[in-house]
Amino acid sequence: MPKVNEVMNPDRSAATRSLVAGGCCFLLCIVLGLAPWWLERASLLRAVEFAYYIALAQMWNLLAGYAGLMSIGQQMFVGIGAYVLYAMVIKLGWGVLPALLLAGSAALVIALPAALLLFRLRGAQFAIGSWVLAESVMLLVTRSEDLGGASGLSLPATAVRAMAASADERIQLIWWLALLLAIGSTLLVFLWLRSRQGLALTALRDNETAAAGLGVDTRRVKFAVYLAVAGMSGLIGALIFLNKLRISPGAAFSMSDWTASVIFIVVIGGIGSIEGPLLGALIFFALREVFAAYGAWYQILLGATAILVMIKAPRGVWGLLSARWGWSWLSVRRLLKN
Amino acid sequence: MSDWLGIVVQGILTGGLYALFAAGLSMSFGILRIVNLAHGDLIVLACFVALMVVETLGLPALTSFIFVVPAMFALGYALQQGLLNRVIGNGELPPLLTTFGLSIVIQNSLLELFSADNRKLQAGAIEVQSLDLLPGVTVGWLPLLMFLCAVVLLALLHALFFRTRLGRAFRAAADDPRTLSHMGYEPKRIYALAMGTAMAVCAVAAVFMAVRTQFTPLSGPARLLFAFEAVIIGGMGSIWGTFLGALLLGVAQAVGAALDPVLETLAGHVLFFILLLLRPQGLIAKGK
Amino acid sequence: MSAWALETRGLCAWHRDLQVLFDVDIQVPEAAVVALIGANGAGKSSLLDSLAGLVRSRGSIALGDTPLQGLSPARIAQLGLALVPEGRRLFPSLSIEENLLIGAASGRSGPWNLARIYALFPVLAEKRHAPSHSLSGGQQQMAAIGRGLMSNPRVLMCDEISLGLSPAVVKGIYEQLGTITREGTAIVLVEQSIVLAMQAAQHVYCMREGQVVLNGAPEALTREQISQAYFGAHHE
Repeated sequence: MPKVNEVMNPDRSAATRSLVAGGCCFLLCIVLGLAPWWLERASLLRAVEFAYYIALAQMWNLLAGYAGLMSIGQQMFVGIGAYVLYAMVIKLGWGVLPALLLAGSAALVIALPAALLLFRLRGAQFAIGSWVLAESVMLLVTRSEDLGGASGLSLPATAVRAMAASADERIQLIWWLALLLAIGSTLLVFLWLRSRQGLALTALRDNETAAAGLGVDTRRVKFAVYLAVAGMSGLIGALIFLNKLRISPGAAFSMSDWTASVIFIVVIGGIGSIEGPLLGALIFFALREVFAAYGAWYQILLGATAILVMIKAPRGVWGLLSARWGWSWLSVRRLLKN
Repeated sequence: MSDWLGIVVQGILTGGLYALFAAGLSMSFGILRIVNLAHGDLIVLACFVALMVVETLGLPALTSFIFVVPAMFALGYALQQGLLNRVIGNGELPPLLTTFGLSIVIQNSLLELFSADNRKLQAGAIEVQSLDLLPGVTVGWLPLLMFLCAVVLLALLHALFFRTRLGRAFRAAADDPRTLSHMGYEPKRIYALAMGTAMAVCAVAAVFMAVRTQFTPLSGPARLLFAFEAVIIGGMGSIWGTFLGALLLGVAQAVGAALDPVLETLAGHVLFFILLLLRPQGLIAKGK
Repeated sequence: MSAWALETRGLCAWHRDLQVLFDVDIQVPEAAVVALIGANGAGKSSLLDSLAGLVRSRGSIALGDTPLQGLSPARIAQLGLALVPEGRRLFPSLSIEENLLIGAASGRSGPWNLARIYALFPVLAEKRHAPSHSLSGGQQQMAAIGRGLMSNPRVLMCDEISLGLSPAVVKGIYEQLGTITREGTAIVLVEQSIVLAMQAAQHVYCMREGQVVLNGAPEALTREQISQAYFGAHHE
C-alpha cells in the first residue's frame, strides 16, 4: 500500500503561489511587529483586539468548520484561562509570561473531562451542552469569593509594573503577544491541515460518515482538535484580560463577546477555510466602526447578516470570492501525483 | 420534613411550565431535526405579544391566550416556510447558525422596541391565592393552574400525535421525510405545521411565564437551556419522557434554590450532567 | 387522449453532474404489468427516481395526459403515480395500519381501501397494530405494496420487491399482482430476477448503462437476445 504522501502531493503550482503569498505574509508580519512605532496608542489597542479576535476565530473555525464540533461554549476556556492567570499572578505572585503558559495548559487539561461529558452529545445538542457547561463554570466562579465573586478582581499595580517599565512598553509587549497568538493560531490551523492528519480533518469537514467509513478515526481527531482549541482559547483569554487589567465572571465568560462575535466573524468571512476568518474579522471590525453606535440595531444587523449568509452564501464572503475568481491564498489543497 | 415536601411540590409545579417549553423544542428537534437556538427568544417574544395584547385590549392576562396562541402559530409557520425550510438539508451547521442569528435578531429587536426593563403581566387576585393541597403543603392557585394546563396540553399533544392524520404525518416526517413525500405530503409544509404547533404550545407557556415571573428581552436563552435540559434528562421522542424530565428539573432547581439562591440553575445543570454521564439517551428513551 | 397510463420520451437524468439516463422511452399501458430488468447500475432505479420526481431530469414524462416533468415528488404521488421504494421503507414509528392509512393521504377515489388491502394480504389484518419492524421481510413488503395501493394510483412502481425474500414468499406476492391490475392499476416492476419479470409482465424493458437496449413482450424475446441485452455484446 503506497503511503498517503507518496500518492498525494500538496498542490505544486498553488504551492508556488503560496510561497509568494507566504513571503508577503512574512514581510507583513515584520511590518506589524514594528507597529508600536508607527501606530498611535488607540489604534494599537484596537489592533490588539483585532489580533485576538483573529486568533479566536481561527480556533472556532478549526473546531466547527473542520472538526464539525459546533460549540457555543468556548467562552468557558477563555474565562478559565483568564482566571488562572489572575489567580497565579495575584495569589502566587507568578510572572506574567509563565502564568500565560499555565493558563493555556490549565484550559487544555480541563478540556479533558469536558470532552468526556460533551462528546456524548452530537450536533446541536453538543452545542447547547457546551453552553450549559460554560454557564455552570461561570456560576461556580461567581460563587467563589477567592476569585472575587461576582465583582471580580483587579490586577494589582505591582504585577502590572513587573510586566514592563511603562504603560507604552506594556502595551508593546501585549501587542507582540497578541500578534504571536494571531499568527500562531493561523499557522497552527494551516500546518495541521497540511499534515497527514489534515487530510483526515478535511475529510471530516466534507463528509463525516464517509470519512469514518474510510477508516478515519473521527473520534480521536475531534478529541485532539477540541483539546488544542481549548488550550489556545485559554491562552488567548489570559492575554485578553491581562490587557484589560480587570476581570469579572460576566466579562470573562461572556457569550456575546467570546462566542457570538467570533461566530459572526467566521460565518460571514467563510467557514471551513483559513482565509475566511481573516476576511471575516476585517468585515466585522469595519461594521463595528460604522454601526456600533447604533447599539441594538448593530446587533440586529450582525444577526441578519449571518442569516443572509447562511441562506445565500453558506461558505461566506471568502467562499463567494474564491468560487468566483478561484482565489486561494493559504492553499492546503492536495492533488494526485501523476 | 413538610418543608422539603413543599419545596418538591413547588418544583413539580414549575416543572409543568418547563414541560411546555420542552415539548415545543422536542417537536422541533424530533420532526425538523433542528435545535432551534432561538426557541427561548421566541417564547419571550410571545410574552411580549401577550403584554401588548393585554395593554392595548385591556383583557385579563390569562385570556390573552386567545390572541397569542394563533399569532404564535402563524409566526412559527411563517418562520419555517420563509426561513428555516431554506437551510435544512445541507448539513448541521446552517440551521444552527441561522437560528443563532435569529436569536440575536429577536433579542435586540425586542430591546429596541421595549427596552431592557423588567416586565410582568398582572393576573390579579389569583396570583396570591393559595390552597392547602396536602396537610402542611400550601400551593398557589396560579402554579397549580399552570401545572394542570400543562398536563392537559401535553395530553392533547399526545392525542394529536397518535390519533390524527396530521400527527401521523408528523411521526412519519420524523422517521423518513423522503418516503413521506411519496405518500403525497410535502415535507416542507409538514415542517411548517410542526413549527407552528410547537410555537402554539410555547405561546401557552409564555402567557403563564409572563404572569408568574418577570421577563426582559434577554430572558430567552435561559428558557432554551431549561427546555433543552428537560428534553435530555427525560429523553427525546417521548412526550411523557420530556414531561418527567421537566418535573425533575423543576424539583432539582427548587431544592437548589432552597439550599442557596445562587444554586438554583446550577442544580439543574448538575442534574443534566449526571444524566448525561449515566444515561445519555434520557430516562425514557424512544423505543425502536 | 393518451393511449398510455405512463409514458416517457427522450428522458435524460442526472445524479449530481453524472448523467445516468440517456434518451429513455417507456410506454406503460393501462392496467398492465411492465417489467424493467437489467444488471446493477443499469439505470432501473434511476428511471424510477426520475419518474418519482427525485432526480433532475429532462425530457417528457406523462401520466395519461398529465405532464409530470418538474413536479415535486408529493405532487406526482397526488396525481396518481405511487412508489413502493426499494427496501420497503415502512415508517418505524407507525403501526402497520397507520402505515397503510398514511398511504391514503392523496384522497383519490378508487377500489382500494383498508378492507380491500386486508383482503388482498390477510396476514396484515392480523398484524395491523404491530410496529412495522416486527414483521418479516415478506410481510413488510406486502405492507409497503398495500401502502402504495391505498392512494388508488393509476400506476404503481415497485422497486425490487423480491430483494431479500424467499422464493415461496415472493411467489405469494407475485400471485396478487394480477388482482391489482384487474382493479385498474398498472404496475411498473423493477426486478433483478429475469425469470420472475418474464412470468409476471406483459411487456419487458431491458436496460444497460442508462439506456433501453431491448424491449418487447416476454414471449417474443429469445434467451440470447435477453442475455446479450442484459450483459452486453461481449458476453458468451
